[in-house]
Amino acid sequence: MLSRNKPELKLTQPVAIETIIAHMAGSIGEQKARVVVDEALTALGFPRSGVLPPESADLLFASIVTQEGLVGLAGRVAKQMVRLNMSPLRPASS
Amino acid sequence: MSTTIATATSQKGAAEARTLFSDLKQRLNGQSPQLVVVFASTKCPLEAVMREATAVFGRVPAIACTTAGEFDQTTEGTGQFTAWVAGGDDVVAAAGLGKGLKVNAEAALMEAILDVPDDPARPHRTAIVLLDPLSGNGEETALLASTLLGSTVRLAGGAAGDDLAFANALVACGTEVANDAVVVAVLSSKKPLSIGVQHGHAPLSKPLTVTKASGAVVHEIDGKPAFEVWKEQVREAAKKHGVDIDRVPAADMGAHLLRYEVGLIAGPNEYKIRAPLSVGTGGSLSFACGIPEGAVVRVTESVEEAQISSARGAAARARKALGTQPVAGALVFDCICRRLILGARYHSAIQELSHALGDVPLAGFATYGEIAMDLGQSSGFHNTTTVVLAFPQ
Repeated sequence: MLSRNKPELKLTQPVAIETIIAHMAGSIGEQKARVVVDEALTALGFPRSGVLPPESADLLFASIVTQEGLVGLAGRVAKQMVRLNMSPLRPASS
Repeated sequence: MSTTIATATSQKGAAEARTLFSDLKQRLNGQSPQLVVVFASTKCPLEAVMREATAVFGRVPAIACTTAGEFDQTTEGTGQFTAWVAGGDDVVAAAGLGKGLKVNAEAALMEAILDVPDDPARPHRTAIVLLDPLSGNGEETALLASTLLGSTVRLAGGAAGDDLAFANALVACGTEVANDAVVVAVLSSKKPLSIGVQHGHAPLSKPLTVTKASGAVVHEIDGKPAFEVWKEQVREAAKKHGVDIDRVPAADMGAHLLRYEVGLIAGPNEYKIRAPLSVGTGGSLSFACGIPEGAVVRVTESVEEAQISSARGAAARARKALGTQPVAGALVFDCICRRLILGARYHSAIQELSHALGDVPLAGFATYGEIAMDLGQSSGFHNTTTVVLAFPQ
């Protein structure tokens, strides 16, 4: 049952860069998420806006998830959400 | 067979626990108990209370934590314990405890998460997570739990409290009690449970940048000691409530830190609230989860009406998410800031929450942080929030 027993699956659909940022923003804030994603995109030589093909998105996540602490973790969860095609949900405020 | 839930609260600690648990078992009307949950003040020694729970319920999974206030649908207060039990066969549970949360959250979770086989008769999965916030990695733990359990498992839960001492927050599974630990109960159910979440804080300060941080400790904001920046931002608001923030003794600062929490800017008009738990050396602020360098935050505050409406809103959302299914009962993880801000009106907030659910049995506690990850959410640790986990009949 636990995901630790399941192999890591590759992405199969294109991914909007803003979607990745939105998924990570809840854990590390929007500004930090933009910086993290932007730096990873630059290091990989990818465009810094728009939609990434699945292979490029996989490489982007592979770069982000190796970062220490909350940043790397936020990347892992974001990849899970993207792979399951789940839109970012936010808790409601009064 | 439907789910039956029974709750009770006692102010007599372990001395009354066996009688209370026996009475709860009777009130299941012959249904098999499946999960016991206990929320206990530090004045009710958790080991002793859980020994009595185990004596009455045997091998039924029983989880617990210490609190900063506890309540059921009719009673709320401090210095007591509240117990909740679910019976029937719609929901079954398996629970574990993992230690060493601060050093290695993933290892602690892997110890706590039991390998539960898939159950075609109960295809819906929800995990209740209780953790020690003083380990400083609440968000990390919630995210790791999500990755380990899988994105189809909802998470709900809370960070243990310790009656505002900020010294020793405990979690328990059966008779095993520990700090620096996490408890995970995996629930398998015939019908989906529902989670309602709502917070009640609004920004007070302009955007500020975390310029030096390590893990859950923020050392500097905008290049200055974090605590000094926090005081600058809250000074005027605190004065309106008759508080001179510069004269508050160190031992009493905790309650004020929880009133003016830090909002991580997660999007336009969107704040992920983070509670500062203590002031450290050099004017650092320690939080219940990591806040990375470079994050942009705002100091926030809450008004009383927002604290009442957010609790009601969370309950209404949980009830609505069950659709036409009547509610059997609920567990509530409610930020301590609500109790601190509302004071004598807190009882009314709990009553409104109970009404919004349909006046069903519920048990809850005042937390130092709340956990909620519904399907599709990619962030799990909250503050100043009410999280309601509702069980269908």
